[in-house]
Amino acid sequence: MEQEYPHIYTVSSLTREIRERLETHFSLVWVSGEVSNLRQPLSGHYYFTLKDAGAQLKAVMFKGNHLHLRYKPQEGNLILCRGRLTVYEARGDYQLIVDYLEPLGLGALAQAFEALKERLAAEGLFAPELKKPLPFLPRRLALVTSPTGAAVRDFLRLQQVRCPNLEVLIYPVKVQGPDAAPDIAAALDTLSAYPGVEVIVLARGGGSLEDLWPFNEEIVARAIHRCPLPVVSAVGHEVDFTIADFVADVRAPTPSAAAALVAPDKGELLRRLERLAVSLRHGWLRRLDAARRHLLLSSRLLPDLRRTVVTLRLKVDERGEALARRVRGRLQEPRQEVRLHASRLYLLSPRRTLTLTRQRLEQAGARLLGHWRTAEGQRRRHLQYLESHLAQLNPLAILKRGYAVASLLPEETIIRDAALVSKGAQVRVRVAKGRMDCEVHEVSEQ
Amino acid sequence: MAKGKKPVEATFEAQLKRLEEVLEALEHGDLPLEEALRLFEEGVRLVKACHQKLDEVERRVELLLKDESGRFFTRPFPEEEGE
Repeated sequence: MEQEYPHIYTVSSLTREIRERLETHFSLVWVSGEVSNLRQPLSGHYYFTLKDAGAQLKAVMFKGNHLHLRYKPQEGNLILCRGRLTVYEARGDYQLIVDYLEPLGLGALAQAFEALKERLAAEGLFAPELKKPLPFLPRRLALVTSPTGAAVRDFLRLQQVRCPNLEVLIYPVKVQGPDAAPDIAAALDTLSAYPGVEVIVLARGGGSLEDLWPFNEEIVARAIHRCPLPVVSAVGHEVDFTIADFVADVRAPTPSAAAALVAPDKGELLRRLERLAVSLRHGWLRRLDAARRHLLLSSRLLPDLRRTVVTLRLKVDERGEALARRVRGRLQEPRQEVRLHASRLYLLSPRRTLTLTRQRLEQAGARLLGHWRTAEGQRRRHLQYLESHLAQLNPLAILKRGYAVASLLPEETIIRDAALVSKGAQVRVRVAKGRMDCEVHEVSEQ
Repeated sequence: MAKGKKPVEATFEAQLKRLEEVLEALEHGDLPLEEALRLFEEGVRLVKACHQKLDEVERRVELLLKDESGRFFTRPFPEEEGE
């Protein structure tokens, strides 16, 4: 049988291996226990022992890791640590290098916080649609806070700087302890009906989870939820988130930040107003100037217009002359025509016709007279002829030759036929000179 | 704005917005002269109104307290010196 020699460590190598194994296996552990033998030398690091009934564990927490923590562990505190194991080889000690610690009771609170948060979220209290916008320039705002804390001072200081023209109504409340939550809820209810209040700021300075606990209570959450005014939640420090922060319309990381959110920067507004006023003026002046230039441009045409007017005037005169000439020329022909017509008219004139007619009349009269005279002469001669002829034909002339005319009395009917006369008839016998009335003796037909 | 708290006259915010509108129109619009003048005058009025609104409210910090009968009253809030 071979004798196997075990590996022989040196103390260092064994310790080193222990160290490696511990560091690998326990690179991140959470440990709870009681603080004892707490020391904080000049270096600032915490050196303490975590212990429970059965064992103890050396621990160190370097300054850089705990400096920012609010919680300062005390002798005898039950705490929860997070860290890694290591071995301090020189002394053969193993210890816990703590990078985070907190009081042990915190766990229960944190769970309650998570549970309430989930429940209220499910009910829709945190819904973004419910968030009301903050008024741009509120006249009056209400501050629900402790009148003695730092929060109110921080808020007022910044508000004064940004916009002093505000009315701030401070409603004093307890901000920690068991009575705080109902107090805060009552404040919110009162202020929501208070005249003139346009926004409510819930403010509290920093503290532990227990300190801030009232702002995680359901009664406060519901009061914020039913508040008709916008609510700004400014509780604790930047890293603290409370239920109030979730329900509120706006979360401010600090009370000063809340003042910045609620109070507008008056200086900035005034500057903006001034810029707008200047731009307004410039805009108007530019427009006016444009109008002026336009007018000037148009008015520059006027001197030309004057020359144009002169030119036009000359033109008008020239044209007028030409027109007159043409008119006169054109009148020549008509004038002649007129003269022609006038003379024709004259020829047709009644006066002339009258004169002519008179002339003709006179001529005709003269001719007529002439004719008449001539005709009269002729007639006279004719008459004379007829007279002589007549004289020759005078039956009584026959009587001169001895003939006699017998006519039967009383009718004096001329007797040609003797048969017609009976014996004893009265007969007139006319002779050349005188007449004899006779009685018939005898009739014979020879 | 929170419900039930709307003031009758235009809010500061609304007036500021209108002022910016007027400016925009004046700078970019091809406005007839009379219209431009009208807008300018409106702008001047708005600037004045906005200034007024900013100075309207006086600073007042008060503590809201309740007396024995439960009625509310206010008292000036003491401020630290040098603030």
